[in-house]
Amino acid sequence: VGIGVKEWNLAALLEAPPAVDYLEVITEHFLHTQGLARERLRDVRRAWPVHLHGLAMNIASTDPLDRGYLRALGALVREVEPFLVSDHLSWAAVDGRPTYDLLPFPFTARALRHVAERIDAIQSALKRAIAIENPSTYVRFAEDEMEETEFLAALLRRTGAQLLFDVNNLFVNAANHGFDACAALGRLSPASVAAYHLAGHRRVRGFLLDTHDGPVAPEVYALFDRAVEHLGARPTTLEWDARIPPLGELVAKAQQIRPHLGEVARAA
Amino acid sequence: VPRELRAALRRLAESLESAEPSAALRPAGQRQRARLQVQAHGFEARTRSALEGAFPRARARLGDAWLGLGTSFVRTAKLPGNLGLIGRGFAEFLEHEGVATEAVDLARVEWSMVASSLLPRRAPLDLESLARAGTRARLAFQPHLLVLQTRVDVAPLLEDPRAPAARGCREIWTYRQGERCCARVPAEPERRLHEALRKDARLAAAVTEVDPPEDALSLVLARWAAEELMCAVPTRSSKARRASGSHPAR
Repeated sequence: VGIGVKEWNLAALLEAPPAVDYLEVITEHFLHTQGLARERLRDVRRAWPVHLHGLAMNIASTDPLDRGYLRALGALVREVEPFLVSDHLSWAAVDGRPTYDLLPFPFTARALRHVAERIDAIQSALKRAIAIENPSTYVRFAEDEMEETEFLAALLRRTGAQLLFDVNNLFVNAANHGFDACAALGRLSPASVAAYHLAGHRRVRGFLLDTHDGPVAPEVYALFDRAVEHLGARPTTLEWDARIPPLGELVAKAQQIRPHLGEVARAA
Repeated sequence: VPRELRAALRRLAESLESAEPSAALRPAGQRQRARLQVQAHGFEARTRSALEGAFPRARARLGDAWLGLGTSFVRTAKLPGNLGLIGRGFAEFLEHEGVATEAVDLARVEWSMVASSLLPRRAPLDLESLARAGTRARLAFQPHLLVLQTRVDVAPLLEDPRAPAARGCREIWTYRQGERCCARVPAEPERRLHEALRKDARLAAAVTEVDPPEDALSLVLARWAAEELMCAVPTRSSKARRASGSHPAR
């Protein structure tokens, strides 16, 4: 079990090391710098395995892949030796304009080919497989030809990439777009799943918003139990990016994940 | 690149900007509008928070004008993919918009502190090592020490209004100190010594050029050592190693 941490609290973690198995950090905080953040990441890496989780690989965009980004990521990967490198099945810029958001695209056969080619290129550049996270979405496209997990399963088969399965995102999407989360989960193959994400969400103006600002909902834990049953236990990160509780409380919440993975909970 | 995919992404980007429902998206009507509005708000909140994080003092100085300027910058500037670097070019934008020079300089100082935080730290040189080298001593400065020439006097730009700053001084140093970055005004002898050392790393040559009083020289070197600003002159091989690695974002 791991926790997602912000760049600014890495130093605090070193002062009072929490009882977690690994840390997940945001890749972009450590790219294009050899400064303070990168030094702290090196320190943290001596104490924990690290998962590099990106937001700006722009996997599903139609803009050219950012080779400078991939080069910098390659250097970071060589230095940190993370056990997992991941990003999202989404796009974050079009026509060179960043959105600072993880946006959806149509699930079509053409898009599948396009995204698969980009993942192949990314994996070649990094010389390793990456994991793709299913993002939360609030709108879908009229031209969709397949369901989300159908698209994901085909993409993972084609590229050899793995899945960073965000159970909360699947729950949010199922509620927002009106599909059966359990049936969707059934389309995924156990061999493709590298890790899980769990997080909190909120109901806002009649739909579910993936806010990462509270505890994991019981309904999401129920879906997680189904996922573990079908896909197996994997490293699981508790994401908490806003209204973050004190570290001890955050770690205690993360420890609550262990029994769901069939592990004995450790004292925080 | 599939043209229809590019068109779909552009349509979504436009819908997010206008918050106008699109027939190409589901759900339809008011439900779609509500979702687009919430997501568009997320973009504004993220960019605003990143700018405010980088320029807290410029924001306070600009007061009510901040919101409009920040929004206009985000809408018109070439933004980096990394939200943490969103403030790059903001001071120049403020200048272009005709903002008061003092506020522009304040933004330049704040961005210089961010830039210092992104730059590496080399092993510092202490006074003992310096004394051992004697007249052969060669000095370099930490890569994270950035020297900024301001357009207004530095006094109002300092975080601590009691910090010493000579009238007419227009130079600020930003650098990393422990877990934070700071900005300070160099005293006149250290400013001149630093300038001389940047031209010629030999301490003896710099001292000859500047000719500071002996006690001033001791004070400057002691301060630089305490702040860990001095380091050894990088060798050719260490320069090559750095050149092949990641480049700092400046």
